[in-house]
Amino acid sequence: MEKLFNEQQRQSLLSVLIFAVNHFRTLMRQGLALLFLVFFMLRRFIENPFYLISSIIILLVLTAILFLIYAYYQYKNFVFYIDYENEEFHLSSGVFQKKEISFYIHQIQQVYIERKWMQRLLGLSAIKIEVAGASSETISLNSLSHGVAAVLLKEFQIIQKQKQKIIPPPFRDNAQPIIEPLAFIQNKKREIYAEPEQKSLPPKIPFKTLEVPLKNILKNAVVTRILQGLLLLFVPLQFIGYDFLMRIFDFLEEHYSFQIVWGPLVILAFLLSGVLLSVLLNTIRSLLMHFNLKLEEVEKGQYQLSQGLINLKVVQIKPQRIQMVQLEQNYLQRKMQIYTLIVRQLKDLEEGQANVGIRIPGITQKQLEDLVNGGFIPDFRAKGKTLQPLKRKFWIHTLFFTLINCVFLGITWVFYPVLWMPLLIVLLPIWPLGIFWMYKKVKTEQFRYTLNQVWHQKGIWKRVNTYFYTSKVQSFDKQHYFWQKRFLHAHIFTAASVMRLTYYPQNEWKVIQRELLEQLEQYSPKWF
Amino acid sequence: MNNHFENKVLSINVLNKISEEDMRWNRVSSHFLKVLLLRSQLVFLALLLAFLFFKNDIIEKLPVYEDWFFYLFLTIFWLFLIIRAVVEYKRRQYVVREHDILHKKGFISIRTSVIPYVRVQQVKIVEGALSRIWSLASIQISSASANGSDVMVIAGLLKDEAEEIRKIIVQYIKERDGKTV
Repeated sequence: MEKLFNEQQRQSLLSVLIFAVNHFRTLMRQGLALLFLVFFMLRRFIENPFYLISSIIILLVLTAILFLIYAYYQYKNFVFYIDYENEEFHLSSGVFQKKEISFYIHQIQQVYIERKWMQRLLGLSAIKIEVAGASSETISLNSLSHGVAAVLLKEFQIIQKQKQKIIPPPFRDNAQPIIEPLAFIQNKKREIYAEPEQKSLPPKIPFKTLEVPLKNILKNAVVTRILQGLLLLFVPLQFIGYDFLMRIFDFLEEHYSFQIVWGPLVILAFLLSGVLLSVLLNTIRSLLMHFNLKLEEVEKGQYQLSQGLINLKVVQIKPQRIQMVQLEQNYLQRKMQIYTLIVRQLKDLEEGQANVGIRIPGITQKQLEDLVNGGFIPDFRAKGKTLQPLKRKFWIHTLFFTLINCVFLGITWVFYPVLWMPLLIVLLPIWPLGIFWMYKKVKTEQFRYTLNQVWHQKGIWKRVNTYFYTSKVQSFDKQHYFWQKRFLHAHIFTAASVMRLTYYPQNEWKVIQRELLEQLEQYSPKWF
Repeated sequence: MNNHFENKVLSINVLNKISEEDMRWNRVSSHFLKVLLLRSQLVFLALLLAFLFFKNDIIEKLPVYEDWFFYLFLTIFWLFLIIRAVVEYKRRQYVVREHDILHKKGFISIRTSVIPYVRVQQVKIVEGALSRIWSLASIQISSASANGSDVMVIAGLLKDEAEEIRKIIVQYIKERDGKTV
């Protein structure tokens, strides 16, 4: 193979123009306030319109010259080459802050040529290289002559083909990664994680279609998002206006009997109508969004989720791209035995989608089991070692809650002494209730893990169970104040979302992190 | 199947200061303390100028003002910036291991991150304007995590040291890919 890019190369000289225009655009977009400021300052000092216009023109020309000089140095320092021996791409850039990027060519997920109007006008092309993942930025070589861009693209493809890799690799249709993590775990034999459930995994029975009946969608709509709906009720209050509200308060103050007798009833009626309204709104919203919700297998290993009454929304889901699963069930959903399933999959580089959580409401236990047995989502029932946050979490939260209450009372005491007593009457039952709520919250929270999966369960009213295969883990992070020796806040990052664990014991967490890291590093399981 | 898994601490040839057996945290280059101090002094200078500019407006609004208030406040603030720079330098540590890289940083809150090489997507070396005075560079290691904040940035490394770490990671990825193909 002819090594066309083995020596350091620059972009086309016309890139100076592109860089300068980009700077000018940025100035117009972000520095408009500064430009106005300069204009008004000039107007203050120069009264003669001729001199004013001349000085503006001179300033603009000077800026353009400065931009051109800066752009020239950018062009000069923007150097790239391919290290054919190590199959690496190197790029260095920057004038004041120098940047060096290098990556292994096989890591490229997507590479394409882009030509915007200005590039077309100058006969240039941009090469965009996406290395992988959501947080990795796209590397752009914006001003290559069209021929060079095409050749560079070809070079990338040739090097990748030599290793029999296709761009972009995460979305190979025939990949079966759901089997892979399980196989990867079944090979491990460790006493600590020995689980009868995992040893006798049932054979996978792929499901063809899953339909959520309208009845369940409506049930789900009635019992979820009540609080959000209630909060929405307060939005119109700001449009009613301060004067109108003050008139109502004045009326209540003048008619004390009305306040005592009808006041509570009015508040109750207001809340009740709010609940009814939020239920109604949520039902309409659910009908519009989730009507005729159907998940079906379109081809092997690829599913299609379709839903919607007026706008039909269709999403392609590949199980191997699912990074994290969330199961939500509030108290009322528990009574009705329905769940809300949220699957978070890797962002779609082809369509430029963000990492979206795909929501499937009103799903039953039986349907969930079908999804698990079909290998669509990981098993939510498997047992593992359990770790709970320290009781200190409860004490710290209680302290903060009490402090907030005291601050409220203090502010009321100083600024609105009349309201102090009613507020105290309201807060007196709320305070112990809040503490009890926090106690239960800490008590029910738990983190479970095996070599194969991790789970995090929390919530009292709404139980949220977040879980994923350990093979999906990207990195770990832990945080604590320097005086905290016993607990920490841990984060487990996946390509779709983050699992946040707060107030977990430090020593135990170190062991878990080491175990999970060891799995990743020893067996390098695929995450897409 | 190989049940024995090792994750040795690697010694970087340039420094040769990491023990092979124990995981000992490495400090970043001592020149980085100068960068942090310089940076903090610039912040101090900017705030001082801003304060002097608006001094009269501020004094007018204060119920009581004595000149020593001003000097005391400045001294405390200056000391805080110095202490912060020193503590931040001392807390900024890293370990390069056979299979992953760890980084610790923070002033009051200490954050420790670990990225296994198998999940590394991009390695970048960045030289800041101030760091370049002492030939320092920072290495940015990113995985495919959804959250951009988890990009590991080890600042204050000597340029050769950063380059060495980059080579270790790239070599690891290459060997891994070589095995899987």
